Amino acid sequence: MNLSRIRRVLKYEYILLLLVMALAFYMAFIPHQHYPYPVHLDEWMHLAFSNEIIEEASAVGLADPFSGGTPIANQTLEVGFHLFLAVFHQISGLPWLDIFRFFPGIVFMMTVLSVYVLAQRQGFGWEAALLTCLIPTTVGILGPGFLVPVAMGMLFIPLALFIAFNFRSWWSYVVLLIFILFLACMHSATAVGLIIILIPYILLNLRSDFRHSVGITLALAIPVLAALPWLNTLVLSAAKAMFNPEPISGIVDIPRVIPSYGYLPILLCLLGIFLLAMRRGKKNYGLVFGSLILFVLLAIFFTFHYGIGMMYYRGLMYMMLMMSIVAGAGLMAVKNLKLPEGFTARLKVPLVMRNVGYILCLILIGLTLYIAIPARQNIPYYHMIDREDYEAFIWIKENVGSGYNKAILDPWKGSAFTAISSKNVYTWIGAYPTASDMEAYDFLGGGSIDTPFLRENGISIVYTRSECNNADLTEVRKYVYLLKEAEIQQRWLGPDEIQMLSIQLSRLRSEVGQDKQAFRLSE
Amino acid sequence: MGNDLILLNLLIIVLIVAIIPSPSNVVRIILGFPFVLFFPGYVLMAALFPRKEGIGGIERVALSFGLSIAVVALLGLILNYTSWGMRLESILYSMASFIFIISVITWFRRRRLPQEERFGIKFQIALPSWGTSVFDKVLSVILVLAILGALGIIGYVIATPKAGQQFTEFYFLGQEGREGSYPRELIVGEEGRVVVGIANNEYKIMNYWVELRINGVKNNEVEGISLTHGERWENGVSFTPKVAGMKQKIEFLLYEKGEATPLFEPLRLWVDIVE
Repeated sequence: MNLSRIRRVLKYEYILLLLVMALAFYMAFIPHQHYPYPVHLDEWMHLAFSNEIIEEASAVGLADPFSGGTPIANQTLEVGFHLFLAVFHQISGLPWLDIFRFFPGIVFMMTVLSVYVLAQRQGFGWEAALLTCLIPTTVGILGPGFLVPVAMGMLFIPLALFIAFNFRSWWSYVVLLIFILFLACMHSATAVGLIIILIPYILLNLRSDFRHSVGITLALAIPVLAALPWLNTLVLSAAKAMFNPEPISGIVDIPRVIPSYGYLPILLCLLGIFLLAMRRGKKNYGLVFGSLILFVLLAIFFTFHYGIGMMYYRGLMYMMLMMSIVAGAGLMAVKNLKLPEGFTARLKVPLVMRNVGYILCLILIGLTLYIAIPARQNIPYYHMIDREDYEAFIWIKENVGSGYNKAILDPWKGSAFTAISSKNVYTWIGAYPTASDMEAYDFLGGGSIDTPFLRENGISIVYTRSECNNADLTEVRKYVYLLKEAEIQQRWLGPDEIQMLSIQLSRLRSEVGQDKQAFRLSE
Repeated sequence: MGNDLILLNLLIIVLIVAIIPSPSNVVRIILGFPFVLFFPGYVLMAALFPRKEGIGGIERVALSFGLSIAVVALLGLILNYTSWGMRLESILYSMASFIFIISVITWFRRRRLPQEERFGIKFQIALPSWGTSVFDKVLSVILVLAILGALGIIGYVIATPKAGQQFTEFYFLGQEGREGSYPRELIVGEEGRVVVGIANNEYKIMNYWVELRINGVKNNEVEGISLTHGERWENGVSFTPKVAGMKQKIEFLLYEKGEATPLFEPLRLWVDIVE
């Protein structure tokens, strides 16, 4: 490939696309711009799960890395995501912090590229790609700025639509099947979202292209049916939830999402719906009805509280993605605006007036970015740990042995602690503070003096920034305290030996119990 | 026919050679990215759609990214249920095998098509042509400089550790250099020993000194600990209690040379001192 060939390849459209992708990277990087650690609670959670897969060299039979107990729902239902992260970390050798900081931007660039690929055959590729960059990231609805399954799932929606809209060979159904199979084991909400978006297109093809409808339906249904034995409890609970109204979480709702997405893109979306409906054709109707059906389902949940909560919370992301694609058509309509030819020829209007569509389009883009970029920069994000916490957790991982297995610390930092140190925690805040979180706060706030509490709960590490006045705890590093008893246990017995001894002890107890019973019977 | 598949498989061999002997290197990062995010999807797309017609270059690229992510995760899932598990070697070899097998299938499928219908990219090593006009030549120079600049930036970012994470680590371990085995009970005049550790991550040479206090009274100190960035110091440090008493507080303080206030709040150990 010589230089003139490279120049030919880098045509105008692709240069524009590269700029849009750079914008996408920046938008997704905003939450991580001034903070080198994972930002969202879910990011820490996924880091802990992926780390566990690497440490155990398997994703089967894992324990909950936080409590050490049975695995939690996200661990099993989003295993595809954790497996991908584990493989990527293993192969690239990149540190976790870099992956969680830069990878959301890379994934979002791919998403924007996929949107471009979907829309360019309908003439509004870069417009749709540009408006996709505006999808916001907030702690409530998540978004492309976080390395979470919903952000990665977004990449597959335009790709699957592109395949379904443009190909009719059996191999294209294989690609669809692979996508759905992956989504089913990575983020089932995205798989369901994609199916919902594709339903109108399947129905539109029923009469004129029955084989294609069947092909898409099979590609979507086979992986879901194959996964049913593993997901039957989830499916049943989801089916039950559909008929039981569920209160909406205060941090996620449609009216709040609309301003954060932006009013101008919404107006462009409405224009896009109008344009696509005017254009007719299955692809155009597929896009419009796919977006509308998703919106209707979200609106039903928001208004009447019927539906699956998770589909609502994550569905907002897919809705914004679909809105961006359709808004791309709206922006194209503005770009193609032209004054009537007779008018321009008769009055000799200046060049500016002859290109009124392009100028309007530029003004709209400028205005949208002028509003959207500072708005995205000003979205507040929490930071779960700071540098001192991170250093301490790393130190614990490297220096504190397996005899010290469970820690108590500010429950808010619990997920980050486990993700970094691979040790269990007494409690951690998953969504809302629980009773055990309050106990932890009381213990730490009271100077960590309650040694019996530590003994009862098998806690051997205390991480606190508050004053610690417990002589049973040794401050081995800034804010890191180890329980003396665990130290003694660690010194004399390994965990295997302790387990063996406890088995022997329970045997002895049962033997003694049997002897006592036999003695009583003989009496 | 294009030579894309040969090049791709050669790059994978380079990656395997780079990873297995020394797990941490720049080649691993540079090749690891496309190995996970692009190659598996690219070969699969080439196998499923071997014709040039019907699918454009940029569409192939986008689908290759998506398929790669899906395939990698699904391969990982399958690997879980094998005796090899999710280890670096098993992941590496299984993915390389997948890419190789699909490459062979692609090669066969392409061969069955007429030459002009086959999709394939031919990479040629040829001297770049300068073009005919001055404008072309200037553009060529800019393009080369841009590519070199981008490669340079990537190399710099990978090779240069990020500044800004400046800190010192200070801790103490038991006599055996691990946590635990701390002196808990001493006789008056008996020497207690722990291992004190300092790690300099300040991106400059640091001169430290450590002071040990028992119940607020200076008992011992270690001076002249000079560490360059990234250097770690771990050494046995002793203290000798002179007064009996239960739960006496042994404090470890770290100072930067010439500074009167310690860098951190003191670390603490409680020891029972008996007669």
